[in-house]
Order: sequence, then C-alpha cells, then structure tokens
Amino acid sequence: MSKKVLCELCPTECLLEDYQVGGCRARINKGGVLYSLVYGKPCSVAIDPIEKKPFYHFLPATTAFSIATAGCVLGCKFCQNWQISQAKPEDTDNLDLPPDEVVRQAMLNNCKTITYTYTEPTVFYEYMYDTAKIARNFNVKNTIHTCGYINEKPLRELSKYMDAADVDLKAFTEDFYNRICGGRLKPVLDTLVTLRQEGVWLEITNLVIPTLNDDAKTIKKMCMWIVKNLGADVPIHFSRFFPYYKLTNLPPTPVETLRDARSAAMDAGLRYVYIGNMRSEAENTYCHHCKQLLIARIGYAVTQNNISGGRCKFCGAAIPGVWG
Amino acid sequence: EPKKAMFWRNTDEA
Repeated sequence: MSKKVLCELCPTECLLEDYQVGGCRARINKGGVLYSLVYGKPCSVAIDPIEKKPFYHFLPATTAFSIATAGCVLGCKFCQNWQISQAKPEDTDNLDLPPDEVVRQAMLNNCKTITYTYTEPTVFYEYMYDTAKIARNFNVKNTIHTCGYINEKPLRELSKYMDAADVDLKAFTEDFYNRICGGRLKPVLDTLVTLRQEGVWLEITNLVIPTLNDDAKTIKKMCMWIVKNLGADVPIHFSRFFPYYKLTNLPPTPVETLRDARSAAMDAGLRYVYIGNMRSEAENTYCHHCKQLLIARIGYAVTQNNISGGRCKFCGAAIPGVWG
Repeated sequence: EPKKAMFWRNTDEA
C-alpha cells in the first residue's frame, strides 16, 4: 500500500507524504492513513445569539452552542479569528469535548442550535459530522458558518444533518480569492448551489473591504448570480470591514459604501438585504410584500417579531426562513 | 485515540 495520501475533503486536495500535515493544519498522514488532529478538541466554545452567526431567518432570538477547532482551509488576509484559524491545534488551548458532550451541553444550556463556526468547520469535518448526527437524534438543530471551500461529496454527506448554512461569499472574482484568500471562487459558488439543492436553509455573508471588493458593479453582478442560481429569497448580509490581521492598512468600510451595496443588491432583485457590523435600520427584516417591519433588531437583540407561523402578521405573506 | 479521517485515498501519484 502506498504511504502517500490524497486528501479529498477540500478543493486544495493536499497530497501528503508520511507524517506530513495538511495545509489546513488539522489532518495528518500517519503510515498511509489520514487522521484528524482536532477531533473532540475545540479551542473555542461559546453560547451566542443565533443573530451573531449571522442568521436572520433562522429561529430568531434563540441561542447557538458554538464550537470551533484550530485550522482553516483558506488564509484570508483579513481574518478576524486568525489567532485560531491560522494556528496549529497543538498551539491553541483545547478542551476535551467529545460529540455527545457537545450535544449534552447544548441541551443543558437550552440552546436550540449547535453552530460550527469561528474558524472553518470543514477542517473538523469528522467531529462536526458525528456531533450533527447525535444532535439530530435529540432534535437539536445544526448550523454551519463556512467559507464554502469544500468538495461536493463531503458537502452532500454533511447536508443530510445540516439545517442551515451561512456561507461567506468573500468576493465575486477569482483574482480576489487567489490574492487575498489563497483559494478559488468556483468551488464556493458550487457549494452554494449544492446547499440549495440539498434543501439546507442558506444565508450569505459578504464582507465589504474598501478598495478590494467594494466595486458596486461587481457587487450587483454577484447579486444577479445569486438571484439566478439560488433565488431572490436568500438573505444576504453586507458586513462592515474593520482592519485586522494582515490588512491593518485599510480603513473601516465607509457607511455609504455599505448602503450602495445594499441598493445594488435590491436592484438585482434580492428581497432580504442586511448590513452587519453596524447599527442601522438595515439590520431589521421587512416584509417583501407589504414592506411592514417584521423583525426589529438592535445588534444581536431582537426587540420585535411580527412573524407568526412563518407568515407576515400584517399581510399574511409567507416569509422565507425557518421560524420554529 | 486518533480519529481516522473521512474523504481521502492512497495514491502513487508524484
């Protein structure tokens, strides 16, 4: 048997020699067998509002038991969690928290959801998969916040147990993904289409970075692609950039840029367009039919909810999402 | 105990 291993989890597809660790830092070839280095060893565990993920159309005002291990499949220069995403698992402080204990802790803390988040959950695929299977048996929902850089086969297998996904669509050019993230755009678009096909509730986050991906024409083109391939009901969150990691030379995103992005998205036909990382009326949900205020938010707090049985209280229109 | 990973294969490719 060959001792070389080809990892087929993400599009990078690392070819690993004996005792070589993958680019994600989370998988190792030992004697021709690939092992996870992070199974049951989260470096981050927290209880968050589901709105923080951000999910705005998925069980609003509930809490999510959130876990992450070290490692990532990309190397974004603007990463807000680079201390753990760009770290080796042996360099982070890890807990011993097996899958059944994750579910038990979530239930003890009245969390409706377990969210795989903070770093890139693809790198702890086996841990997430086993946890999600147990959670499904106990009627705890599973959600993922991902960069979408995962191959189709593992994604379809995971989708059997995933209730919702928030995918970072970081830009709409191959150049950005190549230069800024060390990846490719095409696999991320494929992931979005696959998740939609598999019936996983989908929301999209786009971090708007001054000078790098804030061109209104490209944003509109991206939104038109979303409408055509995923539908007009997919909520999109334009998130405000703040200088982090290797991009501290850039300023925070101007408010006007975010408002322009929102206008471009609505012009393209998207019905639910939000602005994140910034307080404004654009963090509220309005009915696409009668334009009445449905969910009022201040940051992560829901202050008003006018959705009943998945419908607008005012006009009765069905509101896309998972409401209870 | 180390956890065996999913989605990989042995290869002789260079």
